[in-house]
Amino acid sequence: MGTPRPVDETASRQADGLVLADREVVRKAEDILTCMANAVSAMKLFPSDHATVRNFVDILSAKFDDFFMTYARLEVGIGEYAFTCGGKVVYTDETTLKSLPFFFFKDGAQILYFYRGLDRSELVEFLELIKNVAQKPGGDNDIVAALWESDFSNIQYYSPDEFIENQILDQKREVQAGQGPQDSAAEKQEGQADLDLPELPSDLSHEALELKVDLARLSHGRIELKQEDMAKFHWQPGAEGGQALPAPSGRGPGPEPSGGPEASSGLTATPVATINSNLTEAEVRELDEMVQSNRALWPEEEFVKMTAEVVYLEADLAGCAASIDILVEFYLEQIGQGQFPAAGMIISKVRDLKSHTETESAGKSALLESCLKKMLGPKSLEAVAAHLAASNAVDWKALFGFFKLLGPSALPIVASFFDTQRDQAVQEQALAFIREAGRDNPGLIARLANDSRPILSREVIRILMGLPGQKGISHLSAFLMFKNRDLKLELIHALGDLRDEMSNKILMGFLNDPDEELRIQAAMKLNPTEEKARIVHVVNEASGPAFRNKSLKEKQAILSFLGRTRSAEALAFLTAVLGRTTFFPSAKNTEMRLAAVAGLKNMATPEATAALESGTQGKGRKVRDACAEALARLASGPGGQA
Amino acid sequence: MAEEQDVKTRAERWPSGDADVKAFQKSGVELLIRFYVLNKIAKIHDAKNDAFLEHGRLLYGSLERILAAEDEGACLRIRHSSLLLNGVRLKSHLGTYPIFKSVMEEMRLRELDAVAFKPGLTLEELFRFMPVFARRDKKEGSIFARLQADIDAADTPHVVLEKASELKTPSNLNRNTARIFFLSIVHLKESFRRNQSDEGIKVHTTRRLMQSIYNHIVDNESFVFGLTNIKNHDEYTLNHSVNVCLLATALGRRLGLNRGELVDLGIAAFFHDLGKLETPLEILNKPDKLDAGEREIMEQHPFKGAEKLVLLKESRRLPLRAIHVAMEHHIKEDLSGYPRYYDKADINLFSKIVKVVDFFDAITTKRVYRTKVFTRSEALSLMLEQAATEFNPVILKAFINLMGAFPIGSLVLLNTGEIAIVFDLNPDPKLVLRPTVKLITDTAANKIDGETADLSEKDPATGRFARTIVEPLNPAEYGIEISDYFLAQAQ
Repeated sequence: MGTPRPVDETASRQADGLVLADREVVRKAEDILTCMANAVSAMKLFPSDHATVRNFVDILSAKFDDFFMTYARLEVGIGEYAFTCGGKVVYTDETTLKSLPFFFFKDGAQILYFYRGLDRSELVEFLELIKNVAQKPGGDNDIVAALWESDFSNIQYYSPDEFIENQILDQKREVQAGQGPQDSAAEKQEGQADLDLPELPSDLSHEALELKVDLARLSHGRIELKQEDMAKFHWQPGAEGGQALPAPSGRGPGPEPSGGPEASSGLTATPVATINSNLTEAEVRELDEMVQSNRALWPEEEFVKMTAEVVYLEADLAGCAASIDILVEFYLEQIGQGQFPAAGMIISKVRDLKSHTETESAGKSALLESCLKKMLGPKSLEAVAAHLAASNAVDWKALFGFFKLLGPSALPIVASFFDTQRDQAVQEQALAFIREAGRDNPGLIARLANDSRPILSREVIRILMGLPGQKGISHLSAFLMFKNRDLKLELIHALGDLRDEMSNKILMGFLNDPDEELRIQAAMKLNPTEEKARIVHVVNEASGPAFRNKSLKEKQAILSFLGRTRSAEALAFLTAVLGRTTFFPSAKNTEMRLAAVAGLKNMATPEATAALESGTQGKGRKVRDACAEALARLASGPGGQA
Repeated sequence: MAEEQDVKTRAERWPSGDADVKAFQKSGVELLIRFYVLNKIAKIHDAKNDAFLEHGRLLYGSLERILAAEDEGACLRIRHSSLLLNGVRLKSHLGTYPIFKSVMEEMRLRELDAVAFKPGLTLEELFRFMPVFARRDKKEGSIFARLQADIDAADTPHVVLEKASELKTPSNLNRNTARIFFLSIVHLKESFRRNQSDEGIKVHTTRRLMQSIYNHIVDNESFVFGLTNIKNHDEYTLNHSVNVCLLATALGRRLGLNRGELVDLGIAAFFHDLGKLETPLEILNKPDKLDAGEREIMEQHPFKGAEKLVLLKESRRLPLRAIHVAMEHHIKEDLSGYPRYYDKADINLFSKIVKVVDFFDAITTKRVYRTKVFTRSEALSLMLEQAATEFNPVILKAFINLMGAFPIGSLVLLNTGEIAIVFDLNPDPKLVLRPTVKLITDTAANKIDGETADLSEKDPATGRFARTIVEPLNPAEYGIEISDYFLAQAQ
């Protein structure tokens, strides 16, 4: 109830047409309260949307509606284990733990009022409140305090001040009892000596307050005005009130500034009396904004603000370190509870604080730097992972906001759930984060890719390929060690399109891949290079005995690359291979010569053409035919090149 | 008329929900403002006055709109210190608060629980009703009975009055309020003792106490302000903390804080000086200027207080803002003061509120080290001068607005030569210099148990104000214990 106060019960009953013996009211109250107790019990067992609960609430609501058809108010007396109405017991339950009357009684409620206007939603709120309060631990399960705070429109209560009075006096008495009679007496004496206040009754709380005001003193004697006050006052006997009187301080009677207080004739103007203290609309708005923003503050935020200031104020570095440790602990707790905005706010606050302390205290600044390192370090990520593992409902938006503050150190965890989260929106956020973090840290991005997460690895390739200035390319060499064929193939194709030296270098690396097809594709995608050493290296590779064991297709791919370099070394090598014959027919040698034909065809220079023409006269029909075909292609123009 | 006639369920009346309820509340507040204005005019002018007629039509317009939509009419009801229109609570804010307070007070003075305007009400009927309602009645006996008879005689069948059903006498109310005040001191003393002996403070009890304090502020604000004139010099910190708690809660309420926030604010204000337990008494009560070392110790008390609250066994139950307030209540608006914060944004709103009322209560209390005790008006004037640097200017202005030009408990000299104590403020913002006072001397300076006089009352014969404040007096200079006059009301 907004204002608990004694109620004149007879008057209230008369006002509502109730009389003590109204059987109808008692019967209906009995029904309502039994049903209410049932509804509360059901709510303790089942969730609010459970059919059983809904059913009880429906019945209870209908009973109230029926009651209010006739009566404006239901007044329920609260006994220790019973509800009463009109002096009759209408509900009892003596099991202390679950007794609804006792639940109200223990906190000092004496009467509950239910008014017409009570609807289902308010009733449900009321029942939910009972349920929630009942579930709180002792000390926090004060239903009267909760009712007060809820401030229902149509459900009120009466709890006299005596309840709180008893509590306070009991607590005082406990101490006095603990101190023993002598101490208690001493305390009393001391209390009287040092607390010159009207004495409170020491035993029964309902006794009237004994105030030591000497009423006679207030109305006997005189108050003589002092000279200076008298001087300001020029009262003229017979003058009518409100007549203009001299204004000694110089402020004459006259109109106030617009909107200000009305002119008070003869008033000695104190500054506060001259201002218009009515708030302007802008000031009302400003106050409202202050209240709203204060209301929007999270408790966590308040704690952090306070702790940051404590750290700032603390002169002793050891004390400072202790406060910082608390902050770090609190930060990890927030993460563990999924309070990512709070955790993010803590990081921002520490960074801000560090910037304030840098010039004032190097020691404090170093402590804060170390604090930031801890906050951005592996423990945070472990806490995030633990939260993700334990929680069903993750606030992804808040989490990614937090990751932004963590920066690249969050990359591994973002990557770890990229593949596991099926929600496309989450994947997009993760990708956006990786892309953002990768902008300055391509090496970290590259490390995210591995064989077990092909989707992410594919994205990593795209991100690294797309970084400005091709600064991500070098990090793609990591893929040389991968086992995933499709992934490598995709990379080979992507690298082949880039036509830069670093891509070529990586493609070269793929020439040693265990997978032939990949080697072939890499060779085919290799771009002609002018770097002599690289050409010589390939020539040497191709000259080795191992090369002869490769398939024709691979040989062709490699020698075609050499051809595309149009270098003298390549020409010499290809021409030599084409002209190489053996005493006994050798399939491998034929394959080498055919591959050399392919290389020369790709070279498409007059020297290469000459070599091919020479090849048409050489040994072996397959080679001759291949040379003839290559020449025909070359003759047919650039499009004819293989 | 009984309450059952003016209430339908929310669902019946507004099937589409909260937006409709809010629109109705808005119409209700508009009706209330117009009722307030017309009542004010009716007190000064007769029913032929142009202003009366114009504002009468405006009120009728508001009523017509409500009556068109509500079968049962428009019933303005007081229920437990709230104003309801047809069962719906009307909500005040900073701007409309004095109007709410004034209308409720006007109804209480007339022993009314409800005023209902029924369908069929005519403009002429309203014109006949308002002058009767606005008439002052200071005769003995039942005001309601006389008002009802006058209304009947005025032939206003569509205006129905309901007599207040709850009986309460001001002295009972005052006694209960005073009792809560002293209990607060007992509880705070006990809390301080527990804290010093390392026992848990009963925060739960404090919370319930704050709820009770709030109830008394809502019911009996003027008397509560009167009680803050109690200045116990030996137990300064206790008394001061309770005063700060009461004033902060009242100010917070005016600023629009909700109940939960007000309880937190009350608790924060209650414990704001807990750190002083660590300050040696010889420093707290040193009559001379503190030296640098002593000042340093003194300035540690906010930090110590916050530290103590953090270490409380029941700190989980304590609002975090209490720790902020303990720490920040000496920080000035320009970030000077102590302790020296680095970020202004870290100072909590509650700390800014407590800062204002703490300062006010402190400088209006006699202390051994303070050469001058400011009167309440002087204190507000001084605070006003320091608005930009010391306080948040808007909060300070709201506080001055709450306290009035002559705060409750001010000793004033009237142009009649009588000396009086301000007992209640004038809710009319234009009449802030005309509060209600208790006369404590007659014109010849003899002490009396005088009447309570409303300084906005005019002499019917001359049309002039009967009494006017000439100047505030300093009670300390006249050996007057202002609080005695309030406590006498509680006996």
